[in-house]
Amino acid sequence: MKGNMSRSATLSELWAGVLIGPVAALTQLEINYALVLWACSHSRSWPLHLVSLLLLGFTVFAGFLAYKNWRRLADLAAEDSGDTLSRSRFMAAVGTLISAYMALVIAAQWVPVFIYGPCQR
Amino acid sequence: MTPRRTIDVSRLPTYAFGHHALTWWATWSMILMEGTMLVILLISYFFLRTAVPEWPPAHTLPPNLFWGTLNTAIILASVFPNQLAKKAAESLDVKGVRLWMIVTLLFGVAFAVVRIFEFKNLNCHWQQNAYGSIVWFNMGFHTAHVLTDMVDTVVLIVLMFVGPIEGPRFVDVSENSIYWNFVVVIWLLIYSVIYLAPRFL
Repeated sequence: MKGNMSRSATLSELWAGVLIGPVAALTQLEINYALVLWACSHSRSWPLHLVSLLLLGFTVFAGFLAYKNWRRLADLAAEDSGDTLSRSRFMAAVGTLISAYMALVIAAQWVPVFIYGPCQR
Repeated sequence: MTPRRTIDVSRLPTYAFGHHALTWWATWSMILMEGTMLVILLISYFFLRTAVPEWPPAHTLPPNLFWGTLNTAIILASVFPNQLAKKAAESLDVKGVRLWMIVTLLFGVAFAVVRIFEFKNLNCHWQQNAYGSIVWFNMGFHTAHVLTDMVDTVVLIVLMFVGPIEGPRFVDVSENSIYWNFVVVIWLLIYSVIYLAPRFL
């Protein structure tokens, strides 16, 4: 019964925690890289900010889900037992850390948008 | 009053290839960091190997050699169109860049498809034991690099078609080619460790 708890919706949440952050960071990099040409020719930076804000939001949300699972599984998972619940908790911890790190990466990639104009490249 | 000294730099190029480009340094820094991660992964593989009497563990076959070797041939072949794309970029040859980047991308797609069969023929699962985990992690590490570079390549191809085509874009194509070569080199190392070491070492 306990083992089934980390399946279905929770399992997708665990994977979301691990994967959404890195995918969001890559997406921000690629979209803004392509979009900067448009931003320069139209003298508008707001799409670059919007992309960064949205992807930062996704990453923070994924991190929140992972953190929520990590807290929730604290009472259920036995320490170092190697069963489904303890592995799920480990994955939730990894998801929390990856999401936090990727949120920092996205923020760092956002900083130049504030400092440089889109035509300065 | 002392006259203010100025230098006219308007004749200097706005972009450059190789080590004159800032992105060249960024690419090599990235390669250095990613390469360090790979070394750590490979050390982890051999560290785990020393901790058990049998490797791969009992009743576990080494990964199927066919799919890994086929993919090694594909990725090695991709070096040629990749170098031609780099050469075309450095000659500011738009048509050449478009053609060779598309060919390189097709090699990447073929590699990614065969990778699915590789995963299916690893003869272990990530949650089975430490051997399974480190094998899958190494394969996942490389797959992430392949996919990331393919996304980069797609974006550059699209920009090369829709424009505006500017000099720095050619520099990016050249840097992208360097990164793909790195992806090829790390595959040769991972292939040697995952496929060959359990058989011959």
